Amino acid sequence: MNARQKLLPVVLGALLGVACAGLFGHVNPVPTDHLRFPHQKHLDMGQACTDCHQKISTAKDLSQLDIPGHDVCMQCHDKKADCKKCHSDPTAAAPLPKPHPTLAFNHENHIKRMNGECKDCHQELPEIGKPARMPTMAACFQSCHDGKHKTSPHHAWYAAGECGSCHLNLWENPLKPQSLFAHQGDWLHEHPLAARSEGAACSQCHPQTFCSDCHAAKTVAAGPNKLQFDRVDRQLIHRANWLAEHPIEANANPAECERCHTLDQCASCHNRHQVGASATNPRSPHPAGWAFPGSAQFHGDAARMNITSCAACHEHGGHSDCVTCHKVGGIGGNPHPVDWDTRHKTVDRANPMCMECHI
Amino acid sequence: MRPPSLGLLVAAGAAILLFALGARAATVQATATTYTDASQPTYGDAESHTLVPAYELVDVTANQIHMPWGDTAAVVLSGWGGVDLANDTGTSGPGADLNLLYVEGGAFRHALTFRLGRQFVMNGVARMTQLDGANLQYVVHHIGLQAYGGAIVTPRFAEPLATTMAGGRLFWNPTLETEIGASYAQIFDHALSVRQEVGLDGRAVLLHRLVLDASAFYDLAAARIAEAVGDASWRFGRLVTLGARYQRTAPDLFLPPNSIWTVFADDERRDSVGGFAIVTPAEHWSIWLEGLGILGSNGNGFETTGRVSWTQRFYSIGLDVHTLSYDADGHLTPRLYAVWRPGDKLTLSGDLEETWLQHPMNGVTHVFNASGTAAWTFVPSWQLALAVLGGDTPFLSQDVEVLGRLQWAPTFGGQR
Repeated sequence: MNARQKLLPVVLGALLGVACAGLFGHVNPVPTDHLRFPHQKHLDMGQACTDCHQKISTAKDLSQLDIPGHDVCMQCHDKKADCKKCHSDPTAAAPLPKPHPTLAFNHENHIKRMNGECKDCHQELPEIGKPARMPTMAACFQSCHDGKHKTSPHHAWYAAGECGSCHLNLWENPLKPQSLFAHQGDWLHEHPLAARSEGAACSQCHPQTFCSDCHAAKTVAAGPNKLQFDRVDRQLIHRANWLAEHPIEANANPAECERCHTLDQCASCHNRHQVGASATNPRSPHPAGWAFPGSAQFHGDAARMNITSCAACHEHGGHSDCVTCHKVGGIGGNPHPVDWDTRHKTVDRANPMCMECHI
Repeated sequence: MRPPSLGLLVAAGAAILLFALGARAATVQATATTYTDASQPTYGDAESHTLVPAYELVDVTANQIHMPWGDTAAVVLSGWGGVDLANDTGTSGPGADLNLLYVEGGAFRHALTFRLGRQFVMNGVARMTQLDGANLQYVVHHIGLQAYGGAIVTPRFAEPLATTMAGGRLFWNPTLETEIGASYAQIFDHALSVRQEVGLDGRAVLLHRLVLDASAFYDLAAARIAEAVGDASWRFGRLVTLGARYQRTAPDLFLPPNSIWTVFADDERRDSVGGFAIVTPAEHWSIWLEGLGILGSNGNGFETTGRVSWTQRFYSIGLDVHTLSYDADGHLTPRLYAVWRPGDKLTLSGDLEETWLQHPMNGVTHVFNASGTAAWTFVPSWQLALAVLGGDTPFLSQDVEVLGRLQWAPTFGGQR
């Protein structure tokens, strides 16, 4: 047993330990109680927002959410009121969880500038059975923060990509980009191009743990099609029928496979299914005439034009069965393409690949 | 098999140190996933085998760690371990590995940023390379310089064909949507240089509607373009986006650079060119269509892809269609999926996928697979998901899999 194999149970045990600690050490309470509050009914009776949200005018960040407590409600309502009017499950009523703000927003400043007109931003308030619809970023930018006010730095922040000036942690933000970075269409194939230039923009929202689900193909436990089996709406490249499609797809775009997969991965699966380079292979993928020069199916012509398909099965080190024939003095003759000498004028003595033949 | 690399050990040490320094100030997001996949596949030996691997996957991101010099740092870990509960195939099953383990932070109000440990390097000609190493970036007045280097991550139980990589990128990003960069990367197999590439890349948004993306990478050793991609799209309001795309790749240059196969390959080339349309005809509806013509060294063809979907709060339904015809071969694959969310806690979904092969594969021209899934968030942060997948393939005469996943995804801290 070598060092890496000895490490295996240690790493495995540590990971299981973390999971078990989570399982037994921290279980969040179940919020079966939900507050039911008819905003419009209260507004229709002439109530102002600040009659209930009495501290919102001095709230400097969203951790001061100022959800009114019983004492505020009891200023108008009968103390003997039916609890079920507001609580969906009064027996499970518990203190509201501490706000976990993901946005830097100062209510105090905004309320002063808007002269107390909350509805300029909060155009749609939560009602019973209808969740709150919060102001969108586009609404902020199209109304006040339109770049025309010199005192408003929001457009400069946006232009400089300083999302963190407002979004405290985009990784936790449930919103998705709507316009220029919208992940629509064939985003699966488009996103690499955007990431090559705008990797910093990607990382504003996506930590590398998100990328590694798909891109850590060399180390990941299982592919995203397996681990995210419940996301049938996602564009994943290896859906169930991929097994049948992959020879055609790989022939049409071999570089696409090479980006993530090593040839060892191809070979291990091909050998398991007995479509590999084994001499006893009962399902040889090669057509008749493969070994005969002059045949329309001759392997030499195919190899020149699609060498990656050869490499998917055959050993690509010095022990390749092709080298058995294609070596100096071998029956296969010179393996190099016709323009090889113009690209490689000398034998690279430091390259073991050259030294397989050119001793 | 290699012992843990130096970069990984350094990152592990740094991670422990930073956890100790800043645990009280950090927001910690974690995901612990227990996953199993039970199946009875039939391989080339025509016998039915039983496979039941079980995995534990852990992702941890501890961010907003306040450093003594005023900037913040983060520690990111993604790793897993697994065992075979049943495996009669005679092959080795799951093991354990780290996808990521790095420390990132900044100095000088984040003008200088660093990332140390197992990570992805993604910009420019680095593409998306998994490295055990260091990545530094300095940005001043919208001009930045990135430099990285380290050991290339090798798949478990495989011999490395390239051992180290070093490179850098100079870029200018005047706005969030615009960036232009020039990059260089060199790959080594021990002391032997096996690949050298230079690249140009850029993204620009003009008139708030025209998005241009392009990159071109040139292989200095082969003296030709390894990959070039150009993409332009125009948004007509919120309803329609039209675009065009061109891509060239040299498939043989994607082989391991010191493979014996590079001796045999001629200058391979694959070009694809086409266009796409994204249409939102009404609320909840989305349509996108794409068509590409392919010109390759060993054949020509075309590829079309499309999706029509309807999504609202409780239901999602979509139809995907993909066709490929290339080198006198091809397939047509429609896929129908549906998602039903009867409440906040339960999601039911299923999909049906059908493939018609132009030429028989092991005597099969028609392939069908289907799945049904239930995901239940039984308490906040906890989700249990189960799925049954089944169908026919040309390789496994009949395949049924049962998948299960228990996931816990809490967030701790958050004080700012």
